[in-house]
Amino acid sequence: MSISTFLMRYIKECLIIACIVIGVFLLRMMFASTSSHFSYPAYFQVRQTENILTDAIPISYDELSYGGRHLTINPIYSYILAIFSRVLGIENALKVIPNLFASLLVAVMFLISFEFTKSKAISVLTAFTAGFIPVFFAYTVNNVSIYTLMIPLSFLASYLFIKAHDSQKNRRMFFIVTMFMIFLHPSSWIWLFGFAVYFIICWVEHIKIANWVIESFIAIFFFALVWTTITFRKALSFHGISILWQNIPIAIRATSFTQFNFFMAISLVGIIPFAAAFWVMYKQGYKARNKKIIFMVAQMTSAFLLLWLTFVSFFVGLMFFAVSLLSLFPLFYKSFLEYVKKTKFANYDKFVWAGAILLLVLTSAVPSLVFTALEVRDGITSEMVDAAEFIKENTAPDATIISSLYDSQFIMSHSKRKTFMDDVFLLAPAPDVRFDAVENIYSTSFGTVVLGIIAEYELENVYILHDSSRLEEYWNFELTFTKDRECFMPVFFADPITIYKVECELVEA
Amino acid sequence: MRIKQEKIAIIAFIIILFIVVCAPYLWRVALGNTSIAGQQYYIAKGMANEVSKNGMTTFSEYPFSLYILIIGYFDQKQSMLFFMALGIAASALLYLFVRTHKFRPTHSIFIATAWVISYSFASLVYTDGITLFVCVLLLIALLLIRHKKLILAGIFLLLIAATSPVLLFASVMIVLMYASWHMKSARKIVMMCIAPVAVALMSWLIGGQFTRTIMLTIPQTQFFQELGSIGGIPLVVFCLGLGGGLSFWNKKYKYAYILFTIMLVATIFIPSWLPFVAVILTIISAASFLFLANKVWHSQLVYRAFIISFLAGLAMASIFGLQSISNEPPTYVEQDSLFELAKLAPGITLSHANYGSLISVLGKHESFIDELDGPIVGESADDIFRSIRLTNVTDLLSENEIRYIYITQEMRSGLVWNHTDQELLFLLRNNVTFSKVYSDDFAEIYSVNVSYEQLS
Repeated sequence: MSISTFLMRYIKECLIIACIVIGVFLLRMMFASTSSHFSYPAYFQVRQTENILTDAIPISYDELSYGGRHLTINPIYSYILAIFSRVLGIENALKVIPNLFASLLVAVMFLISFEFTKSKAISVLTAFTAGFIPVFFAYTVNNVSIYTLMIPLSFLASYLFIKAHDSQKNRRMFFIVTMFMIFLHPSSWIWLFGFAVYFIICWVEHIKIANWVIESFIAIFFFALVWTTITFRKALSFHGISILWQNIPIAIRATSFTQFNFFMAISLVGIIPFAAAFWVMYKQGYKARNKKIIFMVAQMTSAFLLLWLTFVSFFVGLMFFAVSLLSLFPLFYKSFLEYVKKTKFANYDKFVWAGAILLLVLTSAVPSLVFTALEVRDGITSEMVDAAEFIKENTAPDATIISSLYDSQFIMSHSKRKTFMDDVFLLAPAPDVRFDAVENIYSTSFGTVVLGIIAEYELENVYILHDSSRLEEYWNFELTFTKDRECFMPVFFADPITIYKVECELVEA
Repeated sequence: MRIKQEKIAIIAFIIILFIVVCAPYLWRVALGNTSIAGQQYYIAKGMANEVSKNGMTTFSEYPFSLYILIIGYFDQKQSMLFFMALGIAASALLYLFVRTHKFRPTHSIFIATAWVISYSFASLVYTDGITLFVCVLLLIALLLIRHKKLILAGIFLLLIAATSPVLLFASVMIVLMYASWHMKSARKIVMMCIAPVAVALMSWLIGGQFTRTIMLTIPQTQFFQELGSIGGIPLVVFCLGLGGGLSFWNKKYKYAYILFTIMLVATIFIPSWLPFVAVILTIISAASFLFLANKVWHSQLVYRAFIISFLAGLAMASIFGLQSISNEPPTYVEQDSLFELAKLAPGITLSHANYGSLISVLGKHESFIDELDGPIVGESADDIFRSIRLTNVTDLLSENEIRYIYITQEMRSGLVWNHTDQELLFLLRNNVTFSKVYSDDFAEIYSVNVSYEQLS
């Protein structure tokens, strides 16, 4: 069925979906515009986009990060944002475009759901739920995250794969979308790994795979392999096999997973899709041996395995996992409605629908809004902006700022000063050791320890930024060594942020 | 038409071969660096120099190795030409060997070209002479086996045993793999391998040649080229080779598969086998590529994407590989400091073990410690590096008759010391005992100013 025929036949549903997309987009924008700044993780992307706008190329050698280091990135997304920034202005573009991309997931999930169930009502309900997947909604609203584009694209590729069984034209579309996805970001390997898992499941279950699927996989796999090795060549040869963990310090990897318990993870994913997916996996995937469902199960398994092995960060893995789960939800709901029809509740289908909507609102939409509100609250405060402004105005251009890992990108972006360490770890010089040093600085009671670290890294003109509200979460300490005012002079204070200038130097006896 | 195609393919093969064989060397020369890339050659040459001094006996420190004997006869330029000739011979032999099988001539050329492009070949020519030498001998042996001249093939295996026992075991594995894949009865082949294996075992057990010649091969830290390994396998070759191997699975070749799996796993423990695994995987991946390229695909778009991706992957691996080989140490800066050392009066030179053979071959000075020295010498050197008392250092230097100290930037930044004024580095400030005779961005040479008689 062509797109125009589809639109004509399902005009009403298309209008509803368009309304949901716009509604989700407006709600996202409402949260994003509560602050004139972005969330902390956004500032790496902000700096890259700014650099493209001024110099036409992304930052490949970052003079500010880690006191100067090489970067390895795939800049396609930054270029996309830069193109829109030319039209909308950088601040507007970085707020609007990622949220627009993310809202399109609603339409993609409608298509997947309709393909599985052929039910307009169920598909609309699934699409609505897709707009409010807690982990995806909360952690992409103000982050300028690439996953706002990657996740809809991944699931569009999955939808086109399912549809590609029907016609040659769909196969071409599937191939083009997949190639673009690979071109865009290495997280496409999560989808590709899901494709491989699909082969394994089919092989184990003795399900025949069509030749075009194998051929497409071979071509896509080699393209991904070559493209990744070209774009991340430096990082690959520098880190070796440990690139799988992206050079993230062990301490951070360990804590990023232990911060969240099982129930927290489920509430981020959505309780109903989580429960429904396992039922569908067993009933439709395993028993009915439906290849389309097996493909979605494979995608879910891929996200889960990579999350479990810590090859992807907690939130990224959870986002892919949550959307995969949701793609299986309509099958559960269809079976549930069919079951209800066989019971005494058959005449109360409107109540069943109302109950389902209410349940989804309570388990998906409400947690989404709560988590987003919390995320926005934890964003950049006016005190932090003042601190960054102070650094920009009152420190020498070669000054180095020691701060919490997550403040660094904002400081680099706003104050244009060197930082000791930040959260971009690929090609970073010994981030494990530096992270220990930062932890030492914020936990020690002795000024000599701090001065020792400063001397070890041969840092000059050093400032220590202490955000007591933030640091308490991570290290739970106060900077007791700063009582020595001669060596650590407070130069800025706006509760909870203090900036200390390091005035002493450790000299060997 | 087919003959014309074959001619064009051969010409293209020759051009690519010459580019791969000559480009890194010419690039180095253009940068003013006439030294051979990598450390392996210098270790071998250092051994050859020792052997020419002390002779080569079964129980000596440097037992018999055909490769060391040959390297001993050549100077640097001749050695480089020798390696280039070996590379050309190896690729030609691979082509001839593949051609004797069911492949079309153009396909045989493609397989040989794939090996030449696939970086592992270039890394053999430039950084792993002994493995290349063994490769040539092995390919001759395989060709002879193909033509059922088993006694001659056995002689070539004996030559490999006389070159390096560790590589002989890999060669025997490949011969057995080939026999179990291609021949109806492998009994004669097994019999043929007994004598070379016995010789290799004897030289290992009696002369310790196994551990010595292992030093001549490059230590692999990673399996894949993209992950920073010199001589590693390009990822595209590995994936297509492995995928192709699995899809060609046939029960009657099970022994070949088992032997290959053993080899693959063994490379984790014996990294010097990696170039052999690379050759096998390259042949399989090139054959798989030809199979895929010649089948009917459902979509031209997908087909083209695959062809372009694979060839681009292979080409990129080769280009980046050749670039990294060109930049392999000793660089022209390193070379300069060693040439300066060569101008100084004779005397034992202390440096890190990694620079031992470079000091001996390029610096033309006896090195206190080199890559082959055991822990006892290593500890003595470490005692000097770690000492914080001048009297201790001068005692140790005089005891070991050390005349020069060669310190590189790498030693200063982690290889030996972590700080600028640490231990011996601090003591070197004493310009009465030590005088700096040379300094550049890469290295510093200090002369020890205390006469041995005085100290003793």
